[in-house]
Amino acid sequence: MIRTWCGLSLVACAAGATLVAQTARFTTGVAAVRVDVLVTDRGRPVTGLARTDFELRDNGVAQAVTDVSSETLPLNLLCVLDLSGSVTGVPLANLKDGLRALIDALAPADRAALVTFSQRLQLHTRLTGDKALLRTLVQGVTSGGSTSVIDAAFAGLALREADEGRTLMLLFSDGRDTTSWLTARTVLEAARRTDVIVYPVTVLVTNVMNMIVSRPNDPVSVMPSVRFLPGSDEGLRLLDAFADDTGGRLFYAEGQGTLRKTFLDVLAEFRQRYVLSYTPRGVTSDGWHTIEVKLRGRRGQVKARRGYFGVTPGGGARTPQK
Amino acid sequence: MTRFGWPAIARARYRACAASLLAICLVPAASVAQEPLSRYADLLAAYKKGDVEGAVSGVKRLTSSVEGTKTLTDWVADRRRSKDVASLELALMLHTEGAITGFGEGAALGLSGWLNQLAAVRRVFVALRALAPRSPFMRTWHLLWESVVQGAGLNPISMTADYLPIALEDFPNDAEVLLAAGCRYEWLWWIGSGNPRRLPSGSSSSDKHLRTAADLLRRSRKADSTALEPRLRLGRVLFLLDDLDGAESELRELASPAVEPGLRYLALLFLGEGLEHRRDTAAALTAYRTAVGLVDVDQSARVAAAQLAHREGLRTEAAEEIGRALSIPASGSDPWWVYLRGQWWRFEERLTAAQAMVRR
Repeated sequence: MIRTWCGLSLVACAAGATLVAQTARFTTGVAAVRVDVLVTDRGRPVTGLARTDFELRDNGVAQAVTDVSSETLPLNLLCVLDLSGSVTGVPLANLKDGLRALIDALAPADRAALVTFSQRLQLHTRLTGDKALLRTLVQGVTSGGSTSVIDAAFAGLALREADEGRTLMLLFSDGRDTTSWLTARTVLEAARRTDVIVYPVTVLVTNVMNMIVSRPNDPVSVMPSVRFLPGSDEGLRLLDAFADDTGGRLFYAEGQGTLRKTFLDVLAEFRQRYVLSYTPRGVTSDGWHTIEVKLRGRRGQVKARRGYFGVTPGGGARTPQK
Repeated sequence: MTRFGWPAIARARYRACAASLLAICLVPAASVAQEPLSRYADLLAAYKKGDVEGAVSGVKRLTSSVEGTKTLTDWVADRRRSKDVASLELALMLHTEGAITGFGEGAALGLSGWLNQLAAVRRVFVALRALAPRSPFMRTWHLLWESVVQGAGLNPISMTADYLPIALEDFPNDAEVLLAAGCRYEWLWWIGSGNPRRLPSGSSSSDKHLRTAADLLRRSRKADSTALEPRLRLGRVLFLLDDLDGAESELRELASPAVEPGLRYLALLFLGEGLEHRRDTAAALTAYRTAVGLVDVDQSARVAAAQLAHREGLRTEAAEEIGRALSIPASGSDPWWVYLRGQWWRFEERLTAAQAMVRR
């Protein structure tokens, strides 16, 4: 039986062989699923773990972890950046500074893509290892407009290329969506169909406009009190859910001035993740697969994506069984 | 029918409208020189001649002082006693333009300066309504003001008087007033639900806004059976109320090639989401693909098509469609973005109409 899996990177593994590029189709029996996990203890990444340190269940069925790797695969960094009106002046300069630091920190085999958004989505470059080009493009971005963070997040997912690299989406936004067409729910479902790990970064700001001027004795009634801006908090919830569902982590920058450090922290944390590989046994191929990863006999917390979709060729959309 | 797009004047004069509101609050009222009492008549005359910038600038200074405010109050009372409707209309437009500019000049004007303009508008409005509540000018002014409120973002709503209930009271069967009101309630639903594209999920507390919107839009459609926007918005509201058949019956005709491209684009988008909800994926994809290319900026249609293709496992097609969505022209607006701003797209024509009425 030939089948296609969607949702996690799949690698064709020969016994004892190293990871090789996955293909969209493979034969049952040689299929492997790759799970990107972060292990922390009291907030700090735990390093030096071996495959025997992990317990992994696929739809509740214990699986044998066949390989654990860390930093052996090149990184595909998808930078999806909010350039709406709230990111102007000094905040934009800080964002560019953070991005330049991030580009400088990429390894030679790593690649990065640059997508920006206000209400409009814009692709500046697909994945490239040309750091000079990336720096030039970053320097040239400008800001202004509304916010389509949900649509932009989907665009990042859809651009994920099928190769052996690990894909990190750095999603920078204040999270307040105002103009997206897509809903957070549909984009979260899309995230479950890819292996992209999303690290949203947002900046906490005080809402200085959250005040109401009331004139109850006025002959003209006062309009109903509503919160500031017609934006949707769904954007903020999306950032959190995105990280949670894909196994990433939401980073809060304390201010625009700390973006450089925050971006570098994201990259450093991502490099300390593990990639577990296993060949599913005792589970059906189709539908939603819930993944649970725990440590065996060690203290620490494991963060991994919640699961993945298995889809047969030509099959239609499937609803996550969550 | 007017093309569904951003008003040109809005782009030029009030582009920073909602975004710059962020800066309004913390700027103290400017210390400005007080204007002499007689200056107010000069400002009105300048405005009538078309010197908007000069008149608005002067009236901002006037209303920033205690003496200037008293001047205005006395003047309004005097004109009301004299039943001078024409002067009050002129004054209402002058302060309205000052307030509108305030939406977009937050940092420069300061919160108190802006509120002064809003208070002046209210003062003149009350006097004028007492004299001529149902005049053509008042109707036009209501429509103008509502387009500004809906376009500027919701924050001003919490700070400004609400003239919409008065508009509905004075013009209960006016198709455009009803449409504007329907837009407002659709918008209030959005704020209540936190998502303009929340899918139908049965009743909720915010659905009362949707039901009100549906009622108003039906009345608007009945008042003017030739107008298309009430039908478009009604179709979407019915979808959100889970009345898929009702939504389709409103939207199908609007999706025909004879309809103006912007409205047709939106009708196809809304039809597509209804078809998705019915799990008719093929038809939904067809609707989205038909919408692609109808307007210069068709990002939403492309994103919608890409998402559906992605869900169906058509990754290459999804990536290609997203690639095209990521390289659309830098100018122009997706009609969906315009739709989300209610009646803002009518701002330019209404401002021009109101100006012409007071300058005749």
